[in-house]
Order: sequence, then C-alpha cells, then structure tokens
Amino acid sequence: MGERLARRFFALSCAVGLVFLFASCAELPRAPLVAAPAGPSAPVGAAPTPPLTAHADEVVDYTLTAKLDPNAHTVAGNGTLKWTNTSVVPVTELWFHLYLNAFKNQRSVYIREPLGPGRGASPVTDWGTIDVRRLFWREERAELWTKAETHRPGDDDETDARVPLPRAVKPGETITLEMTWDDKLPSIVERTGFYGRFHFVGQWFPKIARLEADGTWAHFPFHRLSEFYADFGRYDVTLDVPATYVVGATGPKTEERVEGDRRIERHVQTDVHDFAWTAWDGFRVFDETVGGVAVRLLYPAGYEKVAARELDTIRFALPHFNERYGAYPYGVLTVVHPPEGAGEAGGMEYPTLITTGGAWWVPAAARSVEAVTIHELGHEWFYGLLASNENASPFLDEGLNTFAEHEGMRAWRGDGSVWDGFGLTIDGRAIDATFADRAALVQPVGNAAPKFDSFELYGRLVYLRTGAILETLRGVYGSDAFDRAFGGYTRAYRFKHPTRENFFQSMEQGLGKDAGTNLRRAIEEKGWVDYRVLGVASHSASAAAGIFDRDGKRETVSARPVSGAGETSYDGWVLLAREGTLAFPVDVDVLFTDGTTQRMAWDAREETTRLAVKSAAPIRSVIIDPERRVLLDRDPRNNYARAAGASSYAGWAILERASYVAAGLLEVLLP
Amino acid sequence: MSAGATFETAPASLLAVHARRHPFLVVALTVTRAVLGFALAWPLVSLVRATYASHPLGDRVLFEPGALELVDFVARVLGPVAPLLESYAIALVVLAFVAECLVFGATLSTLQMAHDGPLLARARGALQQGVRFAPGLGAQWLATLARQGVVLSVGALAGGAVAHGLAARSGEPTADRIAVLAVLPFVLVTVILSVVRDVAAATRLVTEAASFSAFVGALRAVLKRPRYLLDYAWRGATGLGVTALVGLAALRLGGRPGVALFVLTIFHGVALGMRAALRVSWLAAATRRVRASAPPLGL
Repeated sequence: MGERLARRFFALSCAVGLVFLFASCAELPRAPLVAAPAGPSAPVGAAPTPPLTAHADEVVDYTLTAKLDPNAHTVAGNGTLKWTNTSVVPVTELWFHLYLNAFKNQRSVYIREPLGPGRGASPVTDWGTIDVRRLFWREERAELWTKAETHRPGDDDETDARVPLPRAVKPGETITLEMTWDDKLPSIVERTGFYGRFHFVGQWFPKIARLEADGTWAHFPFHRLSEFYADFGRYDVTLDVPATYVVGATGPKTEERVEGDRRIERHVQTDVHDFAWTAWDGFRVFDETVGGVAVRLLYPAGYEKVAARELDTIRFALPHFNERYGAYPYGVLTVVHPPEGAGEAGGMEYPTLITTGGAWWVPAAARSVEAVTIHELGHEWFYGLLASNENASPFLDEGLNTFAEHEGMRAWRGDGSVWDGFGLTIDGRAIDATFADRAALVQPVGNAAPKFDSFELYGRLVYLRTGAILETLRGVYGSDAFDRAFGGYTRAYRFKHPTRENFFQSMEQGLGKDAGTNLRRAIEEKGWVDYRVLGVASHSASAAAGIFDRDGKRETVSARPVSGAGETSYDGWVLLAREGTLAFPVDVDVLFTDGTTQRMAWDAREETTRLAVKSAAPIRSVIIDPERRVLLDRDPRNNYARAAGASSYAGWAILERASYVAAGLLEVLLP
Repeated sequence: MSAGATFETAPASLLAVHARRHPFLVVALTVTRAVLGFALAWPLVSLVRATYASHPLGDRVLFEPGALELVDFVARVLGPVAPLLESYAIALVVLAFVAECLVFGATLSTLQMAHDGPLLARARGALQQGVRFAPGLGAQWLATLARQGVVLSVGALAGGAVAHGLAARSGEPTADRIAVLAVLPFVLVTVILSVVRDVAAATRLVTEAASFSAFVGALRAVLKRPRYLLDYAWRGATGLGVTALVGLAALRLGGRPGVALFVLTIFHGVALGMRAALRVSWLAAATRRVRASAPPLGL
C-alpha cells in the first residue's frame, strides 16, 4: 500500500516560511517522456549472488473470464481453479476470500472498524459485492457453494467464506473447481472500484486462501489495515471490455481481438499470487523496455510530466532493486496512474502491476511521485516475490519495503530524497526517525494488521518505525554487512512465504547476535533506546597533590601542571548514559577548544560509562552518535553537552534569517 | 491640518513630496520593520538557542543536508509549543499593526507637510500626526483586508466551480489551468483594492475627507487614472525582484557562519531598506497625484 503518511505529517509540520530559511541545493532535471536506455544502477555493497530460485511452486492455476459492463460497473466472471493440497494433512474444507463484500454494507469488518482518518476511510457511495453463483468440484461432480458458510454466526461480514467438502482432499492431490460469480464494483475505495468510466478491478474473484504446510488455513476477513496472502500459481485471464477501453493487467497480453464493440484480451502469468486489472477509455499509453522488462505506463491526459517522472523512477529503481534484491523475474510491468478523483486506487501493488499517484502540478522539488512509484515497485519484491502473510506480519512487506523505498530514493536523489528545493533538502531517514518515534511505545511494530488500533499507529509503526529500525541496523553494523544480510534474505525466500522468524534469522546470521537481539526487541517488544550525555569536564593535568607518606617520610606535594614539550596537558572525562531496552554501539566525539576532535567508541552494553580523555586542550563539548546512525534514539537533543565555561553557540544563523522572514511577513500583512 | 500639529502646518510643495527628500522616513520604516521582525522571530530563536547551544555545530546543524535535525526540531520541539507560539504571534501582530498604523500615518503626514527644523522635533510632530490619523487608517486597512478576503473567496469559489465543471470534459490539468485563469481577475481586483486603500489614505490626509468618501474618491481616481496602478505596479515588481535576488543569494550562501552570515545580513538589510524606500516612494507618488487633483486644505 502507498507510503504517503510521512509526507502528510511533514506537510502539516513545516511552515512555508521555514522552508525559505535553509540552505540551497539545485533541483535535478526531470526526464522527458521519451524512450531512453536504462541508466546504470547505483553501486551496491558486495551482495552474495547465490543461484536464484527460478519459479514458484504452482499451487493454484486460475483460468478465468471477466466481462466488464462499464455502465453498471459490474463484472461477470467464470472459470476454473485447479488447486493442490500442498500440506501434510487431508483437507476437509476450503476457505475463500470474497474481498469485494467488504464494501457490501456497513456491517462488514472493513467498514465498521473505527480506525480513524486515513486511506480507505472515505465513505462508499455505491456499494460493492461479489456473489458466487456456482462452485462445482469437477472430479466429484459436486456443487459446493450451496453448503458454503459465507459468514460467522452473529457477524454480518461476508469476506471470508468456508466451503465444506464432501470428502477430504489428500496431501498432494489436485482438484478442479468450476466457478461462476458476479461482481458489483463499489465507488472507488481503497484499492478497487470505479470512478466515472475508470475502473480498477482488484480482489475481484473468489480467491482461495492459503493452506499452510501444517494443514491450517491462513484465512481472515478483509480488514482495512490488512492486505493479502495467497499461494503462487498461474493466472490465465481473459478480459472482455468495450472496444474503446485501454486495459492494464497482471502479466503479458497473449491474445487480443475485437468483436463488435468489445475487445477481448487474454493475459497469462505464472509465478504470481494475484491478478488485478484496470480499464478506462481515458488512458494515455507509453511503452519502454527497461532492463529487458516491457514497461507500460497508463496515465490520464495532461499527466505527461508526471508520467515522465514515474518512468524516470522505474529506469533507476528496477536495475537498482534487481541488483540488491534479486532480478525481477517477469517480462512485463504496468504502471497505472489513476485519474485525480480515483486516488484511492493509487499507491497499490499487484504482481507485475502497480498504481501510483500525484497531482499534475506536484513540483519537482517534492519527491512524492517518485517515492510512491519506487515504493510500489519495491512491493514487487516485498509482497510479490517474498509473499509473506500481510495480515499476520504487515511489517514484512510494508516496513521492509519502506526501507527499500528510502534506501532507493537516497541512492538516487541523495539527501533530497523527500524534498529538494528552495534551499532545503529532506531525506526519508528524517521522516522515519522523527515521526515513527511518537508511536514507539504504544504498540509493537510486529503486530498483526488487525491488532493496530488506528490507521495512524499502523502507519507510524509498520512503515516508518520499521524503516527507522532497519536504517539503524544499517548505520550501526555497516552498510556492507547489512546489505549482504538483507539481500541474502530476499534471495533465499524468493518465491516463498517467509515468516518473521525467517527474517530475524537471516539478519542475525548476517549481522551477529547483538544485532539480532536488537532487531527482535525493536520489532516485537516495542524496544527503544535513548543516549544521553550526563556530564563532561576537563582540567589541567597535574601530579597528585596532597600529603603522602612514602618510604617512612611524609611529603607534601603541591598542585603543578604536567607539561610536555612545552605544552600543558589536560585530563577530562565524559559521562554517558543509555536508557532503554536496545543497545547499539555508538561513536562519541569529544571536541576541544583548540578545534581538534577525538572520536571514541562506546559499546553501550552497560547503562552508563565514564570515558577518560587526555588531551592537549580543554574539552569544549561532547556528542554521542554524531552521524545519527541510531535513528531509533528517542531524544537526539540530549546527545550533546558542553563543558562548563565553554562558549555556547548563539544561534546567529537562525536569528538573522528568521527576523528577515518575519519582517517580510509583516510587510505583507500590515500597513 | 490640525491646529494641534507641533511641526510644520503648511503643505509641502509637490517637488518636496518624494521619498528621496525623506531619507529619515525610509530609515525609520526600515528600522521599525526590522525590530518588529526580530520581535516576531524571537521565540523561535530562543528555542533554537536553548536546544542547540551545546551542539558542536550550534544552530548550523539545522542547515545540514537531509534535515535530520531540522525535521526533528520542527516536529518535536516546535510542535509541542505551537499553541504558545501562535498566541505570541497573534499578540505581536496586533501590536505591530498598531505600531505600523502610527508609522503609516506619520509617513503620510511627513510627506504631505513641509519639513524644516530639527530632526527630533520633526519626528515628534510626525508621530503626533500618526497618532491622530492612525485609527482611521487602521480601520481603512482592516476594511480593505475584509474586502480583499471576500473577493478572493468569491474567486476561489468561481475557480473551484470552473475546475469541477470542466474536469470531466477536459481532464483535470486543463480544467485546473482554466480555473487559475478564472481566478486571476479576482487577484487583480485585490491588488486594485490595495492601491485604492493607499490612495484613500493619502486623500484623507490631503483633504481631511471622511473615510468612506475618501475611499469612494480614491476608487474613482484609480479607475479613472491607470497611472496610479502603474506607479504601484513598478514599485511592487521592483520589491519582488529585490526579494528574489536576495533569496537567491541566501540560497547560495546556505547556512554558513562567519563572513557568509555577515554578507547575508547586509543583503537582507539592504532588501528591507529598498522595500521601505519603495513603499515611501509609492506613498509619495500617491500623495502627489492626490494633491494634483485635489488641492489640500491651506493652499
């Protein structure tokens, strides 16, 4: 799902006047919407290159036909599903997700959950449904749907259906189900629906839940904060739309013909776990091949510049992610920019198809268009290829992908990865570090999606906090080691369904036990940390003064500075503390009045430490973690202190600019 | 002119109604604005000093690329005290409004009257005139703000309606652009209202007309003689140009301390001074034109 929460927080927080106060960076040129060769990707730390898994295990095989009525906003569907029991136990029932029923009435789990403002909260003005007409087990010649349980007793939600079987399906056995159903698309709401003649059709067919290896079904109702979980397989889908409509869909188009006023397209894709499509007669189309992948952009008229930015993003990010996380295995990628009123369809990922967003007038300085595009592209790995359970562990897709997004944007756009204009650059790490912390102690990052109590908490923790955790690990334990561990995880679990434990173990193997412990605590136990300077002092070194009894004689020694080579030396110390349940080693910079700096290391295993400092000049100040590697540090403003008597910084730069800007504002307002 | 005025009581000759003949006014206006700007900015500066006085980089850390500290400062230091800062800003703006009304009245009366005698006495006399005219000028200013607010609101509604009406047919980008064009005339009206406001203020001082009749007279004069708009426009454009140039310089200099900061301070001071001079120049031009069309009392 689209990452945009952080940018909203930022927009609310930064006054326009502040923007003009700060230092300059030139804007980067925008690429035209013309074909161009893929640029080289940024260098990446030596990542391991074990042989990549070529294909997923094929558990499902859908052959479907869908006919769109663009006036009634309905889809008539039918087809077959071949499903294999890959568990170790016989199965006596099947579970199907009927996601469109989330928009059927106000009693659905999706609509009734009080999660506050955020994506998906806009009211449904035209209800959506999915009505299964027939579910027929071909081998047994048995109609199954008549006995289906579409909701639980006392609960009107109809998004999670149980279908009892007349006999058990043995382990390894494949069955064929014939399906017929009718969709009524809702007014555009999160991920799916219609807006005028624009149709985005996601989660639109009876979708079998995933059966885990131990024989338990991973099924759940459609929660607003939850996404999906399904088996890999083959999708062969024939779409029937008005002849004037342009279609974007999962997988390559293998057939196309026009019959009267209808156009029929067939799309076939293996090794995927979902299929989505869109149809609109307002799409403009641009095609380009990037790194061997046929990229198709679909966008509204007038959005050429935005589409160019999206294409530019793909040109950078596709090779970049290929190198970091393993090659994108599909031949096609469709990028859909919905029309302005259909923003709820934007910022979403499906296999080989992503949706982006952004108004036509978004200035180049704001990287929101690029960020959404690179985020959704990242989902082709963190969701697409690493098909974790998005309901049970949303951080595994959204959180890891937020890290991938910010890393990619930073590799591409440097410090201005979120904003670069009017003298101000903002990096995604600043957003992660600042805005995730507000929720850090409220709920664990590792919660299942339905357990988050608000959209805001979900956004701050799953997206931003996970991003901050991973950025911290990378900063503290080294980008090379981190990239090897993270890239190793993405390669090892490609075309699989990794769990959080798989992820933790991969990272611990690559980064060590301490890092693993920190990672688990940060994700599962609301782990936190705050470094603090408790004190700093230095004095002229001198021989110990006082009265000493030595060799039977009493000797009185007076204080006398210790000099060497004509210079006085100084003894000093800094007293440091670490609070919280996380312990990352940090650098400590001690600055002296002669302008020199001494860097020291603190492993931070203990809660406090006193570091001794010998120097040629008095200590002026001290700062813990000067490069802000530990983004999880709850209060970076207590990381520094100055020695007593050392001069402080008067804030002239801010004083000068702020006064000038304020005077200018008053000029505008007043006589 | 009121008998209570303690400096000159005769209107100045038209040749004397020029900003260049009143450098003191320009300096006074510049200083007033700088002081008020400083006062408005001070809480922010205090917070920065309190937060970063001990940081090895001082407040320069807020200018670091990537804005790690800046975002943290805005969200976690400024955020919690935002209501307090808002209250302070509102109180300061009210005070500044009163002060600027005084300065506005004093400026207009100084331009209008002959100016001989010691500087201090002239300043005292100008302030007395400022006190006399400030309430009326302030009320006029607020009334103009209200009128401009209404015009812009109507413009926004019209623009929104145009955008909404055309979006389905023309696509959002085209509709939005046409909507902007539809709003432009309303923006132009607000500019004209600003010109009328200043001309009305000059009219009041020249003819001692009542507020409403001064406004009506000024409106007629501005609509009848486009030179008023031209006088206002070129000075406004020059002020914007100066601001943009200094802004570019600020971007180039970044957050560097030392000489760069000193140079930037000079640039900003010059920009403030030039804008003050342009303001005084415009008010002088308006006064001259009003005088030319409506001789003041006493002549």
